[in-house]
Amino acid sequence: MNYTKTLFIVALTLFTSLLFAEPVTLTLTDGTVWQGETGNPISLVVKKGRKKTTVEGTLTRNAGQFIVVTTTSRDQVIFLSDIESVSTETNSSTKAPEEIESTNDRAQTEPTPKIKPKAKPEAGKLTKGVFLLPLDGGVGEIIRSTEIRELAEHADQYGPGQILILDINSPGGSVLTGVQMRDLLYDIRKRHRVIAWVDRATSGGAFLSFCCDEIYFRRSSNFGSITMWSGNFQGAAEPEMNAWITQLEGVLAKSSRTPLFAAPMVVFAAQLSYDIDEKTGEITYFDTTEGEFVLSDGQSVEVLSITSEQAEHCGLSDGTADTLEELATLLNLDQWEEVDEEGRKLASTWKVTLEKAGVEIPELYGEFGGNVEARTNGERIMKQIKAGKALLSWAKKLGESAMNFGLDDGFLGGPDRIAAIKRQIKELEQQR
Amino acid sequence: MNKRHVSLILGALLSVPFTSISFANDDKISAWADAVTETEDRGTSVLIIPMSGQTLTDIRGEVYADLQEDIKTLNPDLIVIEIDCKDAKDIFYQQMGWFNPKEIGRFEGETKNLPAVAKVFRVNLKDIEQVAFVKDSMGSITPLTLSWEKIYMTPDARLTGTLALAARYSNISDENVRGKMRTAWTLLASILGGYGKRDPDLMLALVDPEKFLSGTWNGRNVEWFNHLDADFYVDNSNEMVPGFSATQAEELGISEATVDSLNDVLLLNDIREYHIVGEEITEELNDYVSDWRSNLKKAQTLWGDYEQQRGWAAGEERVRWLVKNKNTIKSLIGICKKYPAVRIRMRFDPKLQQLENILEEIERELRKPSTPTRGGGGPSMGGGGGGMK
Repeated sequence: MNYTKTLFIVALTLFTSLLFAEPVTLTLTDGTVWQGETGNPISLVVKKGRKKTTVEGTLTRNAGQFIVVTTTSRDQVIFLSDIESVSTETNSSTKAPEEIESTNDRAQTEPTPKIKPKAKPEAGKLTKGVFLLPLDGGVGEIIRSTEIRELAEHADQYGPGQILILDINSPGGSVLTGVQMRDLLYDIRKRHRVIAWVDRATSGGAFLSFCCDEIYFRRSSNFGSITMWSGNFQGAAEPEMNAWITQLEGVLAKSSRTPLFAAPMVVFAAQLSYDIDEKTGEITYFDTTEGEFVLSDGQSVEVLSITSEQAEHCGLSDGTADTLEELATLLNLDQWEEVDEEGRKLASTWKVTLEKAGVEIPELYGEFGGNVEARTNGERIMKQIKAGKALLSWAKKLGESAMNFGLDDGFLGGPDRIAAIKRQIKELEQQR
Repeated sequence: MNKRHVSLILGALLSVPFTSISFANDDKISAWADAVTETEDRGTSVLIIPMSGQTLTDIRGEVYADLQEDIKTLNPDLIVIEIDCKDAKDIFYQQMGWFNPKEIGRFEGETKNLPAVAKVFRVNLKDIEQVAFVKDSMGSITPLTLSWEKIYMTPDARLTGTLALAARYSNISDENVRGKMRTAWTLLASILGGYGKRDPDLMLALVDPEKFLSGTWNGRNVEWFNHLDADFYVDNSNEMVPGFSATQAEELGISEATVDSLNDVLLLNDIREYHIVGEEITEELNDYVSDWRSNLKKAQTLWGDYEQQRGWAAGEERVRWLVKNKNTIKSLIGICKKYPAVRIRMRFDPKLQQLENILEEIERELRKPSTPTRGGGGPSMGGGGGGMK
């Protein structure tokens, strides 16, 4: 009875796999291309660090960045970057030099990529693409969660495993906004690969980068100085500063970086040095100056801020890239290919909105306060009401950034300025 | 080494070995939880009871009591109480003061609220199996959370004590009165903990900052004491109340396990197949929260209207705005009666006497004859004359 049941299940599985077999092309890191289809029995040599293992089973899924091989005991997820070789009975494992060369040529001859929007994938098919979001400015002032959230939601439509690149150029900003973005980025990281590609990333910009899966520098990058301070350049009180260091340590650990980077980037008295094992390349960090390479001696009056060269040497960055093509190579992509311009559009739309807000809102406040030209009192009131309503409309449009323009809605129990404007409009309507 | 260092070292000592043990368990649970299947109507019937937000407003005894009979009729195999009460989003938000003080869990003078919730589930519905799935239990809710014997916490969840009860008596200068009030208020924790068979010393330490807390292992359980002479201590301060991470709570036997999902909770209760029942009950509870909160906004607007209109009730417009204000206050009273949570947040007295007095005052004003005006709204002539509009 059991034998019959097992036979039936095996037959059904085989039938199902044949019925839904899909063509698969795997491009290994050395350029080897394997072609086959799901359901093929395959044998892989997988390399993890120095360890090599052979995995034999049935190829059941191709997810772009990884494949799933069903072995006799379990489903095994294997990343393409770990596969050294692949073979099967119907193996078509061949070098495809032409294809590889042409890919490289494209990368070299097209410094500014022409983005052809990719079609959204059909249900059940996973594709992987790149989305780039320029984040240029102060955190909380210009850089905020909305654009990141919207881009992630857009990327969601293409399935999990997309690459979201945050092109960060920021001198810092609001700690609260940074921490709110931390939560958002952690959430996005559950389904996508989030990359920080930094230009200038000091303070909040560095914090934001630490919240990403990987960090890549430009040669001119400057990164660090995450000290927390409030108005009049006063450093935060010691308990808050300690809490901030702990917070930063947690963020670093979440991205598999040493938490020891945290303290020297916040307070100058903290020390940091490291050694590099000549044979393995493994880096050991110390919160003292005992390492061969000293990043912070605790004597200098500057908190830690590092260059691309230092970052790569000490293992803080995952690589240095000045161009999109260089970045593509570091990301292990065949070529730089953005899915569409959604991220760039989001950034430029927000920039335009913000510039307009910067001009219009102060004027509207003035008009709402009675600074209007009018022949009669009634006309003056009408214009004031109109300005008040326009301010409310701006508050809606600016969303989380409205508070930067004094359009708070009682955030964290603070004064509800939106309600106050509404009340003032009622007062004006009564006077009319 | 100061107090802070001692507690930090203890925290580290407690959490480091426990963390590794728990992570190993988590992995197993996550893998196994896939074996739990939600079906249309097969397997264990599970009712989800949301308990999120602020005690005394979002979490009120009468709201759950109103649904008690429906739950009895439904008679699910298991009730899962989903507790998610946080004063601040996380510990860092708390340290930075990034929270809305108006949203912190409350007791106010209402000692009976949390026991009323406990009475619904732990007494009146005691024949139905129950577990608490804790996503966060910060402050006031914690004594109620521990009224369930079996609690499961998500990895980021916290179980922290509260200073809200101590705030009720800490400013009383007379020592005897203070002592009496201290006993009366902190007893609440022991009563609630009693439903969950919790150690009274543990419960007291969670609400009384003057109590210490230490423990001694007895097999796999911990015996708790309000002194510092046991094997280890978690609270050596007479100014603060303790708090536990999910890992610590699990390792100290306060929670059953650290879990990622409802499926994990069910698996640990030997449930492989389940179906959700009483979705209308769950929805009703969620609706209550959104309803009272939208009515709070209405009430705030009405109160603002009243204050604004009060200034307009003069001259020819006097009666118009008095009548308008009468209706405004009546609407406000209506909302506060329907939603005590709104009354609490608006800081009106329990009997709404303040609003009733305003209403009476408006009616008295309306009974007075209108003041005649001269030349389109000039100064009042005083005395009689003119008619009511």
